[in-house]
Amino acid sequence: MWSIVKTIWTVFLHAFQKRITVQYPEEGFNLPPRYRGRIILSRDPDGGERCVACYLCAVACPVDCIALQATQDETGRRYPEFFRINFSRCIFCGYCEEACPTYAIQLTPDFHMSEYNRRNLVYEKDDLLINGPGKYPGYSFWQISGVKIGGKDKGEAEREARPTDLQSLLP
Amino acid sequence: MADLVKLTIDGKALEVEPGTLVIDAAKRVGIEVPAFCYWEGLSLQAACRMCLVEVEKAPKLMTACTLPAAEGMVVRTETPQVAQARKSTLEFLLTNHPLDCPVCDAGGECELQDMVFRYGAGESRFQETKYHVEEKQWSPVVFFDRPRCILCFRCVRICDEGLGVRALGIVNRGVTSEIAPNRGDHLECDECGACIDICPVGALNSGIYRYRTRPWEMDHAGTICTHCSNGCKTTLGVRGGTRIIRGNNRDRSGINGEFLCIKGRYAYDFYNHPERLQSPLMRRNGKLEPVSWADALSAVARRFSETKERGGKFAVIGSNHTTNEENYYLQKFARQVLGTGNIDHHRTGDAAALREALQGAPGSLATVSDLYGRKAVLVIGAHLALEQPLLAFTLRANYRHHQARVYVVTEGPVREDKIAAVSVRAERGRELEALESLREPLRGEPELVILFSDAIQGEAVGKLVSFGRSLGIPVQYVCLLDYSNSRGAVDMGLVPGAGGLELDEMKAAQDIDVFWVVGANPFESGRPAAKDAFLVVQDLLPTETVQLADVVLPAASRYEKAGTVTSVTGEVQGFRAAVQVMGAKPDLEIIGLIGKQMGVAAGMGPWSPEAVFEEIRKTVPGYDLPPAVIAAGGAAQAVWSDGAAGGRRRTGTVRSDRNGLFASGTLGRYSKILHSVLESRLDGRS
Repeated sequence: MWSIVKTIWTVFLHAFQKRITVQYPEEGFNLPPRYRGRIILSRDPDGGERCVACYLCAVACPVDCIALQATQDETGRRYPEFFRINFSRCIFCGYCEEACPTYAIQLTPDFHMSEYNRRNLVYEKDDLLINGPGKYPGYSFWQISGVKIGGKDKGEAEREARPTDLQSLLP
Repeated sequence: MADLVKLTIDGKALEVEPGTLVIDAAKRVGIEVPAFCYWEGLSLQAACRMCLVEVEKAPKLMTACTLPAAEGMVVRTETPQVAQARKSTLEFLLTNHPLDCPVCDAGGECELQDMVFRYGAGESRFQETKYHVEEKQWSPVVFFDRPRCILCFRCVRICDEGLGVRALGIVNRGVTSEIAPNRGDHLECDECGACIDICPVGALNSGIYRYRTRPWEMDHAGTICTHCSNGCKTTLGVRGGTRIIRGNNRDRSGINGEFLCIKGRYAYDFYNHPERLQSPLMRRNGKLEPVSWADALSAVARRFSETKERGGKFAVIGSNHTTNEENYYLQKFARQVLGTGNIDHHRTGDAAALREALQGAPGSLATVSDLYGRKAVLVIGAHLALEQPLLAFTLRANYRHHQARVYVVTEGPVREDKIAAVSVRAERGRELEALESLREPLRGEPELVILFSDAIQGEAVGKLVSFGRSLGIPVQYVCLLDYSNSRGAVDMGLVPGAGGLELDEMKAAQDIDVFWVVGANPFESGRPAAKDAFLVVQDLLPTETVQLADVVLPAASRYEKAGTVTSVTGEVQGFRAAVQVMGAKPDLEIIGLIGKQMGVAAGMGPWSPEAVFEEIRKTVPGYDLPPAVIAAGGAAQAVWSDGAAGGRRRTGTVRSDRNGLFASGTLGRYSKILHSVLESRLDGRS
């Protein structure tokens, strides 16, 4: 008897509290920034593609939903020729983001990805690339790596000396 | 033999031969001592300091790679002190090492990466600027990035000692030391890629593999190189079952160990040459037009049956590239179904004559490991380093490790002169006379391996063998051949039977009705004399013979089929298919399908490689080899037993193509990589 009264009282109190439920999809809501939703490929602060096609995301992926092919441009910059994520397979575990050595692949707080056609869930590189650096604004892999690419010569990265000409006597 | 030395490594007691290095002794009991500069078989460097171990009663840590095992030695390889030393060593190695791992091709198979993962030192305390040098391209296949180099000098030593080329050296000193190629800014060498393979980091990387994929993304298929006769195992990295990405032999399986020349490592690229035949062709109105397999096969079968019925004359020309199974099946088909003895292939060395001469002395054929272990070696008439790269490599290793005495009888100077005890120059055809001058020194040797090329053929082979017998010491022989299965072709019976025509006679005969060419290019320089003959060709690429053909059946290359081949030393090795190419079928299957169309398949037996190999084991003398060894990727030598050598011989029909390192008969013409290197244009031979 007493427990029934207590239950009714609790329900009564809750009726006056702030609503937790949201009228989705009419109403939106804010997800935390580290929510694991739709995967994107980010860009360097200077606008270049961050992905260097190292295949670590593909090997980390437990469901094998990432496919890519490495290639290089005429200046020696390594990038993916194609980069494909099959979101109908993706389980949003975030392992790819964890594996990525260049912060290129990131998960975003967005899950509005339903499609009528299953094939539309296969995202190509153009669909994945965003126009900014995502969660890591200042980072640029090519400024740390010793490899020469277009616009950055050997020895111009952080904490690197310019190549020395050993044949020269000039200081 | 001296007494064994007893020592203890990490609590495990073991006995080793005196002089064994601690690092090797540890490996025997399953303890890995990490090392960058140490490489089994090369000289000692002790440059990297990774192999430091604790030895009881020694005041400091010792380098295991230079420390010979001593009686009562107690070694510990995993103490905190050792781990600390290795961590510090790694930290030093990383001071100038760039953070390129995500874009470096060695990523995933980098020894430095593995060691840092194991011992830490992931955080660098080095605050100064890193020393940097421009990346260089030394040749189409070799790139060098100095900052990644950890100066282990493995590449310098393998090139100098292993290959005998001496194309790499070290310039400058201290932090500015770097590896330098022999021509200042580019390499002029054998382009074998051994330096790339042996590099523990990504400093030397391959132009072919560069930025293509990752080691874990590939499937690895062990196959036997399809070019020269040495039978090196090349492990092909394949993606998606259709693309070969690279070739190497990192697991050191096969008779070649880690050795590969440019052909084994890079010249697989003929398989996707733009001109590769991928559909059967039939001549209609004077032009070769693509047709379906069914049409092509029925046309061939109809013509074969028709010619056989009216007693026409067949000529069957086999290949020295195809597998043992295919060769066996082809000659069986020709003999049983077509009823012809006109079977031959391009013979590049007189193995048949050697077989006859060795009657009554089985076990006189040397293997590659014999070549490494025997005390003396005699090379006759061949530039071994260019024509037989693995045998030359093994011989150099024998000289280096066992101080083998090498005798050379050749026409001109050869690279083996450098390691030879005696070099004799002899005109072609006069090698046997020159040999007499070596009789006395050879008599003093405890044992001997004789390698001879097509310079010794016909009756001369018999004379050579009796010369060998007259020395009074154990003598083993290798008859040098050109192509990957030349020896197998002889053993399987691709030689004319009694009354059969030889290759040259077939070409010259006026009355041949049907030519059947399987994987060969006999009409490279001129049409057959029989102008109206029906010409059936099975091949990969549009060779001169294919251009003349009436029916062309596209065949699968070595890398697209399974089977076994016999190397120049008679070692039989198996392989499996690495890739698939649309439209092409293995020759074995094509022959089987022709048989099926003719309605004779039942008598020929199944055309699966395993079934045919079973039959070969039962019927071909010397081929009763353990299938488990072959299937597991091992090599077993086919020993000629006594009995009819088969086929008649005539001198003058044996002719070697004398392919250098950058040529491989018709097949080599279709490898772009082989022709991309500078050396291939310098001169055809070196």
